[in-house]
Amino acid sequence: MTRSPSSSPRSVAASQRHWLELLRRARASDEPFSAAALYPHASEQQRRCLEPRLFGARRDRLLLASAAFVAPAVLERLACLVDDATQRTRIARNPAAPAEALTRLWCDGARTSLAPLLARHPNTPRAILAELGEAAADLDTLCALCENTGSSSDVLATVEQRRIPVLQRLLAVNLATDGATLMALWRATDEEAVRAQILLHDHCPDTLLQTLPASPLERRCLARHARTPAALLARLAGDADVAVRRAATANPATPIAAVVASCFDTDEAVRRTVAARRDLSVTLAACLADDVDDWVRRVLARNPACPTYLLERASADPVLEVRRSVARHPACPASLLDRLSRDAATWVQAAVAYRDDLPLVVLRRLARSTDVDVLAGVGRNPMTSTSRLARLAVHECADVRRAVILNRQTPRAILRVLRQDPYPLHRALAVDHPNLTDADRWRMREDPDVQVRYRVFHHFAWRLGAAADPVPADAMQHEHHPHPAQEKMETI
Amino acid sequence: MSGILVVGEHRKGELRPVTGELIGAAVALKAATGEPVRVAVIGEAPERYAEALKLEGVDEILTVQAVVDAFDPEIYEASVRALIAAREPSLVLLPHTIDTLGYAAPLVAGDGHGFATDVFGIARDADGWVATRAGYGQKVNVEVDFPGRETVVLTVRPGAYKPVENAGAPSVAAIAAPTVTPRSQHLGFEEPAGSDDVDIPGSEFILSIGRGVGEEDNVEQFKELADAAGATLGCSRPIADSGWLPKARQVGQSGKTAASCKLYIAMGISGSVQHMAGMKHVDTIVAVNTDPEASIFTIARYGVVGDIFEIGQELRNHL
Amino acid sequence: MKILVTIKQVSSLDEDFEIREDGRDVDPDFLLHDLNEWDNYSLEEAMRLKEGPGGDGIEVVVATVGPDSTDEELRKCLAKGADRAIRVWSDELEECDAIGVSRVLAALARKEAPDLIFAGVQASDHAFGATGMAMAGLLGLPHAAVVAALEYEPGGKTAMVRRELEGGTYASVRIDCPAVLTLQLGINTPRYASLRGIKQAAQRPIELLDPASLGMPSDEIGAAGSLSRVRRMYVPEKGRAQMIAGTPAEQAARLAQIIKEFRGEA
Repeated sequence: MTRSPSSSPRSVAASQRHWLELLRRARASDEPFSAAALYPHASEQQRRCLEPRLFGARRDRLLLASAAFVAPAVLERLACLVDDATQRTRIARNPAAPAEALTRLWCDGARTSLAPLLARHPNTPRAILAELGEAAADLDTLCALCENTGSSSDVLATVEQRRIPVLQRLLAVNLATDGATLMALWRATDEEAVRAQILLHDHCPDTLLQTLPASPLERRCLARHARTPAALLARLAGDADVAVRRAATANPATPIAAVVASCFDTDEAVRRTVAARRDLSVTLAACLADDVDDWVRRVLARNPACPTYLLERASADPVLEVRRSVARHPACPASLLDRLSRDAATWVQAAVAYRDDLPLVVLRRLARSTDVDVLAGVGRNPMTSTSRLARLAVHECADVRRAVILNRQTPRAILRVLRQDPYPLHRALAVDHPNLTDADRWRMREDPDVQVRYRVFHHFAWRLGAAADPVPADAMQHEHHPHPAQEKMETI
Repeated sequence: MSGILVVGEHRKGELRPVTGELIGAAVALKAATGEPVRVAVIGEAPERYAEALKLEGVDEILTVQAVVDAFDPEIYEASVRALIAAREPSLVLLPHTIDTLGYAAPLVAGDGHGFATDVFGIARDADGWVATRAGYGQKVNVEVDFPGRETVVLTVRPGAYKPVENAGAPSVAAIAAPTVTPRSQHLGFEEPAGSDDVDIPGSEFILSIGRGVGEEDNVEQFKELADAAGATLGCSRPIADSGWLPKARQVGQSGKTAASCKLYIAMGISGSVQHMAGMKHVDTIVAVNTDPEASIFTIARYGVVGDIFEIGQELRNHL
Repeated sequence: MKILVTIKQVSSLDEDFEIREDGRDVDPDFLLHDLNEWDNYSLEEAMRLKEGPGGDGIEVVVATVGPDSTDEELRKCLAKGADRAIRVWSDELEECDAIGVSRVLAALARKEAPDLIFAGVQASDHAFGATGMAMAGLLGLPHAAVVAALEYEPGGKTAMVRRELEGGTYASVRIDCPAVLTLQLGINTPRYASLRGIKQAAQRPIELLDPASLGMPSDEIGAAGSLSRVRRMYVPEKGRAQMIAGTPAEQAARLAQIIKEFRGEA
C-alpha cells in the first residue's frame, strides 16, 4: 500500500478535507483515543490542537498512560506532561513506552519509586540499565534488571558479583547472561535449582555439560541441552528417572539410535515423546503405531515423519483425536482427507475444513455441515466459493461470521455486509481486511464502538496525515506493517 | 442485644464445611468480646445435626423444625427472624453461599438490621461491629460499620476462617418453628452430567491457553497437561479462530463464560478485554506469561512470569 | 405482561490507582464504567421470553439507580430491544448501599407492577449479591437466587427454575409468579446490539424519576435507607498478583501445589 493513492489535485484536496474532518471529530470526541490515533501523523500545529483533547483531563492522561496500543509519540509527549506519580507509574509499566519517554521519567528524578519498573522495561536505554546495575540498592530493582532480557551481559555480570541467591536464579534464567557469568554463578552456588537452570542455558559453558549430575532435576536440564555430548544424552535416555528419560528423548541432539528403547518404555510419557521426534524412522513409527496409549498414537499421526501407510491405519482409529491428528498431518493424502471429511465426529471434519489443500468436492461436502467448527473452517478456507462465503457471512453464529472476516480471500461485497455486524470486534477486524476499500472504511468513521473508530482513524491517519504533511520518519514502518497488531487493539 | 448467632448450612443431610468456619469466626470473636456463641440449625429433623455442632466455645445449640430439609428461602428467612427475636443477638453470622444469597437480603431489608455480605474480617470497636470486605473486583478492601443498628447480619466468605476442631458441651434448645406457606417448592437436586462434552460454564477448574502456544502442534501438550491436572482445557479467541480447539472451549465475550470456575490457569494469555469478560470473576486466577506487564496479571491472584512451555513441562512432572 | 430488568453501571479499576481524599472510596478519575456483566444475561433472558412463543405482548422495562452517566448503560439495553428505560436519581442516593438501592427499585416496581423481575446475581464491582433479593423481600414477592435456567410460559402462574449451587450441583424449584429472580452468568448467550439499534436508542427517551416522585419516605432514601456505611477503603497488601518467583522448575512446583490445594489433596 502506498500512502497517497493518487496525487491528482482533486484527490489531494479530498484527502485534506478528510484529514481535517478526522481532526475535528477527534477533538470533539468524548474519548481521547481517536485523537491518539491521529497524533503521530499530525503536523506540529495540529498536534497542539489535539493536545487539549488528549492530555487536558487527568482522567484521560491516566487512560493513555496505560494504553499499550497508542503510538510511542503519544506516550513520549505524555511523559513530558504527567503531573503525578500514578501517571508516571502507568507509563513506566506500559510496554509501548519508547526509550525517550522512559528516559524522561528517569531524568525527572522520580528515580526511587520507578526504578524497578524502569529496570524491567524492555525499552529502557542500556545506559540507564547500567546505571541501575551499579547503583541500585533495593532487591526489587535488581530482580527487575535480572529479568530484563534487554540488560546487557556486562550489567548482568556486575549484578552477579553481589551473590544474592534470589538474583542467581534470575541470572541463570536470563537469556542475555553470558558464559563467563554463568561459570561464575556455578562456582558461587551449589543450589540445585540454580545449577539446573545453568545447565539449561544456551550460553552454558561446554565444560559443565560433560559430566552426569547427581540430582534428577540437573540431569533433566542436561538432557535438554542442545550441546550435551551425544554419548551423555544416550545415557540420559536410559536414566532411571522418567522425567529425565523424557527430556533426553525429546532432545533432537539425542541420536535416534539412542531412543529406540524409548519406544518400548514402560512409561507412556516417554513413548509419547519419542512419537513426536521429527527424525523418527519408518520402523520406529511402525512400533508406535499400535501403542495402547492413544496419546502416543495421536502424537505419531501428527508427526510429519509418520509415513502415509500408517496414517491410513490411524484414520480408522477408534479414538477421535487420533483421527483428527491424521487430518492435520501436513502430508495427509487427498483420499484420506476425503474419508475424514465424512468422519462421524465433527471435530475431525473440522480439522479437514481448515486445510488449504482440499479437493473442491471435499470442501463442498463440508460446507453442507451444520456444525460451527466445521463451518468456521470452511469460512476461513481460501478455496471456498464467494456464494458460500456470502451465506456464511450471515450465519447466526458469530464464530462462523468471524471466520469469513478472517478469510483473506473474502471479497469486498461480503465485507461490506460484515462491516455492519453487531459484534464490535467483527467490525474492528473488518477495518483491517485488505479487500475493503478506503471508501468503505471512511463510512465507518462514526462507528459507535471506540475500538472500531480507533482502527478507522489509525488507518486514515497514516494515509491522510502524510497527504497533508511531509512524511514523518516512522511512516516507513507502516509501509511494512500497515495495520497494528490486532490483539493490542482489543485491549481498549 | 448481645451474643453471636451462627446459622449453619447443610445439604443432602450433611453439614457443609463452611458451618464449622463460621463457628470458628464466632468463637474467635467471643474471645475478644465475651459475647456468647449460639449455633442454629434449620431442617426437617434438625436435632440430627446437633451432635456435630457441639464444639468448643459454643454455648448453645438452637434447632428450628422445618417442613422440608432442603433449603427454602422463605422458611429460612422466617426461622432466622424467629431466632433473632428469641435470642436478640448483636451479631448474626451466615455463610456467604448461594442458599444465603436467597434469604439474607430479604430478611434484613424488611427488619432493618445492619448488613454486609462476603465479609472476611470482623471486629468490634467503639462504633460497634466493623466488617471488612473487598471492592472493585477485589482490588481494595472496604471497612464498613453499621451506625444505629442493634443487630448486625454478616455473610462470611467461605475459607476466611479456620473451623473449630475440639468438642464442647453446649446446651440444646428448640425454637418454635414459624408458620410459613412457601411460595416455591424444591423438586430435587441434579448433579452435573458426567458427559465428555466440553463444559466451560460448568467446569470448576479450567486451564486455558492463548496465543503464547504459538503453533497448532503445541496445543497437544497443553491438552495432555490439562488432562493430567484434571482441568477442562479452555482457550482464548485466536486459538479457536485458528481451528486449533473447538469453539466450545473458547472463553470470553465471543465464547463461553467460566461461570462455575474456581481455579483458572491462564497460560500464554495476555488478557484482552474480550477474554477477561469471560473469566475475570473467577476467585483464583493464575496467570503464566512471559510479559510481566501483561494485563492478565492485573486480575490474577498468582502470577508466574515465565515461558509457558518450560512451566508446562515442569508442571507435568508434578501431576 | 411486563418484565422489569434492573441493571447497574459498574466501575472497574486499572492497576495503579489512588484512594479519594476522604479515604472512603477510589478517586473517580480512576474508575472505568460499564454495564454489569450479569445484566447482559438478565436482559437477554427477558428478550428471550419476549421473542419466544406467546411473548408477543411482553414489555421489557430496564431500570437503574444512578447519575446521568448511567444513561449510557440504559441505552445499551434499549439498543438490544428493551421497550422502556427508567433511571431514578437524586443527590441523596450518592450514599447508598445495596439495600438502599433496592428500596428505590422496590418503590419503582410497585409503580410499574411487573409480572417478573430479573436482576443479576451480583455486580462485578462490589459483589454484594443483595440488591435483587432485598427488592423481593421489600415487595413481599417469591424469589430465587442464582438461577441458571428458567422455564416460563408468558402469563403462567408458576415458573420452573434451576438454581446453581456450589460444586456444580443444581436444585430444581417451582416458584409462584410474580417472582423476583437473580440470574447467573451463562444462563443464555447475550446478543450484541445492531448498529441500527444503537442509532435508534440514542434518540429514545429515558424516563427520569426521583425517590420523592416514587412516594418514598425520606427515612428510606440514601444513607437513611442503607444498612451499612463505608468507613474506610484501602489497598490490601497483596493487591497485585502474588508473583511466584524462582526458576521454572520452582515456579511449576508451586503451581502444582496450588492445583493440589484446589483438589483438596494438600
